[in-house]
Amino acid sequence: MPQLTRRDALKLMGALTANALFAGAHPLVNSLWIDESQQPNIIVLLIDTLSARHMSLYGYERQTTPNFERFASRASVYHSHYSGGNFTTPGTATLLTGQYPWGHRAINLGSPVARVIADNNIFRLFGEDRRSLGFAQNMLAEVLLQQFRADIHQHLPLTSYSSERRAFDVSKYFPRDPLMAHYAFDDFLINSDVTSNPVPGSAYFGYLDMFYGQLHEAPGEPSPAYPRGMPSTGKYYYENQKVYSGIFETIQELEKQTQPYFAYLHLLSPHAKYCPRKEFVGIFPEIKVPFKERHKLANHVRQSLLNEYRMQYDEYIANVDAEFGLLLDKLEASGILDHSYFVVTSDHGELFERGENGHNTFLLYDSVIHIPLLVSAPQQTKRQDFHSPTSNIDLLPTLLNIVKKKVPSSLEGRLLPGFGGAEESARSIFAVEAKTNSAFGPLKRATITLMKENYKIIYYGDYPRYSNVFELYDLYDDIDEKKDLFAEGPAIASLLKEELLDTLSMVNKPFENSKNPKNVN
Amino acid sequence: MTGILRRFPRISAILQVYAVIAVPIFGWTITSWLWKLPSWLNFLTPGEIAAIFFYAILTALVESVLICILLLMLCFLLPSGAFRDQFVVRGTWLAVGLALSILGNGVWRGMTRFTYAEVSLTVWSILSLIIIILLTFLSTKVRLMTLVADWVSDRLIIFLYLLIPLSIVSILVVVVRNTFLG
Repeated sequence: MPQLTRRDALKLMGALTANALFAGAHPLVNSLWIDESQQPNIIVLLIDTLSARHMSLYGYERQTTPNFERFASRASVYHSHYSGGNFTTPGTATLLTGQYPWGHRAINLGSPVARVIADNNIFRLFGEDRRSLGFAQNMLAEVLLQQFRADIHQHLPLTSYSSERRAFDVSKYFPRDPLMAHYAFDDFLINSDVTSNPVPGSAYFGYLDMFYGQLHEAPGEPSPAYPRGMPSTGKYYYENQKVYSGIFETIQELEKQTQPYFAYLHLLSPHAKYCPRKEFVGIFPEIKVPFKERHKLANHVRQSLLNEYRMQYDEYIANVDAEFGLLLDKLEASGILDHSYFVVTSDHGELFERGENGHNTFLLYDSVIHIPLLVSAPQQTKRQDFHSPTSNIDLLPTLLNIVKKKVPSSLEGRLLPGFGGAEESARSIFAVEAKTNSAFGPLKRATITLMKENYKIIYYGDYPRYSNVFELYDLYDDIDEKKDLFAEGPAIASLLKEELLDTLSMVNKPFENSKNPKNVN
Repeated sequence: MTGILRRFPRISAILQVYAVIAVPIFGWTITSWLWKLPSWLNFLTPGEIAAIFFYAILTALVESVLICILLLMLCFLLPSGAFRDQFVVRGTWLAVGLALSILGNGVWRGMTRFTYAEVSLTVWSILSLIIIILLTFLSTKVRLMTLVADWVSDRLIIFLYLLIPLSIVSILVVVVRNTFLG
């Protein structure tokens, strides 16, 4: 065994002292760039449906994200970062309110956040002195931006950077009541989506909308440039290169206006339908995907089809990565990153396992909630890696702390390590799925997961024929979540179960005790 | 002016046909609203759900008025003997044909949504148009169809006592929401 010399001991003590001093220190300290007079700009780029488990940045075997890796070389990289839910509504609301879904209550498909929570949204908390811009290509995220519209200085319509229209878009004609107009027209009267709303509420206008859609479906058909059709938001077609160059131009415009600013940009790709450009089709070899038994709450998609979808999804991520690379080049060349925090994350991931495809699911396996988080500080040149569990609830308090704004006590998150917080492997992180549960009542028909240290427990609540079931995984030894340890009854299982159920009981209390639970909302 | 007005049918005849147009449209919208209600109850307040209802009713009103205007345009453009003089009977069967075609397509889509047995809307529309023209033409030739049209349009008019006030309330609600909110 090598001897520890006095010199080595002194070096070690010095290193430990420095580590203790600077652990959690602001990366600005590392880059030795502090300018108290200038408030930095903040750009949050949320890339929808981007699973960390499918990014080569986080070790995925297909080289899907070389440009994100390039960005990581000058950013803080969070390796165990989780979304608050498994689809856009709860995932995005978690980021925008700093609360878990049991707090913000945007748990149903397309639902808004609880009315009492809406006042504590990210745009308002940044204050009037910071110009804010909001843009979402995803209709469910746009609902949230509509709810916060009074606090957004510049709210770009969902159709920005899009090309040809494929359906009527009525709610934009009701600027004073866009949210209800959205629910009435886009979601009900003139929505002819064959699966979610096959029968439009408006007989004649719905019919005309379908007719219009059939006449304008050509861009969605396979073409030489887009072998699987052009990407679509549902109502509009778009091209990712135009979207990414468009948002760069928007950021440039913001630079010319009053600074500092905060920009929230929510881009739809690589959300299904996976429509990469032809350059990205067929670029990856087959990989061996571990087989997992079909889950009782999952669909019945056969594994060969899941593998095919996985390939298409990975190709689409590669396409998005290429566009992100071009954006990064422009942001670097223009010097915007020298005085801006640039945050890149997602709202949820995607599943291709256990018979389930996509993210419209009751399941909370890592692939659908483990998301990327990269934060580059102004003039940051070095990479920092953080491995302790973090969540999108942490982004709001961290950003508020960066801009020296008061962090409301109601926020559930903590400061991210590297930005004032410390690495805490023993911290508890939750994710919640409750799309069929009432937002006004206690969480009963819900899936909730708790991640702590290397363990992850999943609780399935009041589902028909699958009620009060627990699963436990050791994410260090079993990253694919194949071996359920719960039945083996390790000590950690009962500890985590107790913590999860106690937390659930606590967050449900206001809804169970209140005579009129709707008051909570 | 009188000459122009003379090309249109009597108000009572217009109301009879409007009832035939409006009842399926409002009925369809209200039924669809009820179908969506359980989902909205999960996350919208009763006031918000009511707002959606009034938007829907207003849309149904606009739809029904537009269809009625379409029929009145036919009165204006076609010779009196072809449409205006038989407005109640031919208008009723034209409205019924349109409703069956549009609502039939909706029902078909609802029934076959998981089978993807989609029918081209162009084919559906052309077939519907042929059937509607045939129904409208036959309606004054077949005595039973004439009687049915008279009977149906005469009885459906009672629903206007409900639909018209409801429409007025919906106009008020939508105007107020889009004037004083935001």
